[in-house]
Amino acid sequence: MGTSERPDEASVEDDIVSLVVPADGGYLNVLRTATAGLAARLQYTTDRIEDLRSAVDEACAMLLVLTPADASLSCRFEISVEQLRIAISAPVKDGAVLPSQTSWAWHVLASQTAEATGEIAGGLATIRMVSLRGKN
Amino acid sequence: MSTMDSPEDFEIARVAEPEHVLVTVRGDVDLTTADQLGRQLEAAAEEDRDVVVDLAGVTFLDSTGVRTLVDAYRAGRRRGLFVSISGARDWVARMLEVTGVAGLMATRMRPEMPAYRPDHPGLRPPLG
Repeated sequence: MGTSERPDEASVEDDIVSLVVPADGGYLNVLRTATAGLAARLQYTTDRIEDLRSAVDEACAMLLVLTPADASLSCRFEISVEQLRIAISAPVKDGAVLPSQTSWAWHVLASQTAEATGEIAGGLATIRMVSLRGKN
Repeated sequence: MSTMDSPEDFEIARVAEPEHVLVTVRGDVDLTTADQLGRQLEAAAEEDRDVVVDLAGVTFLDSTGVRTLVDAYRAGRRRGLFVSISGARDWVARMLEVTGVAGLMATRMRPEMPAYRPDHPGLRPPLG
């Protein structure tokens, strides 16, 4: 922060925010709210806050239908000067596959982030998204 | 099950109007609430009349909710009924645009406007 004249508009960079919640749809709202709060802290515009909130919801919802009982869902936000990189991961049931790239969920994710990819490896599904901070 | 399964701010009301069945939705439509919406839309279509879904009170809509709306639209068409949406605001309206559902399901921006039905020429809005 140092000499910043507007300390509330945080010069947030190189921070990592991690949230781990039970893999239960009831926590989607918690994750959406946390995401919106983080985006607001990064000075996203109102529309882009909504986009990011939606993107995280879509990614989490994709995974929640694949997770076994009592699993956890992890959301990791890596903040850099130019980007916000988000990785959402959860263990998935044997044989689980992510929705097709032509599904609505991916369509929404692609329209709301600069980049969105997903993979399942070693029983863990991860969806990674990149949001550009300066794009307002 | 979690104690967070039923978001308290989510509500659906179904009312029989003279011309259609009105389903009013409030709160967030997501993975946890879309099923409830789907069941209400199914019940509304059972009345064999067109259904209007008022989304003015919807504060969030994800692709699960969008899919539920489109499923209801398709099920309605199979029965010769129209399921249309009205009143979506702000970001929810944009979500419906992004997914192409706004055009398909005839978003009515003003309550006094008749539903725009792309496949029903008699109800097209006036040009210009």
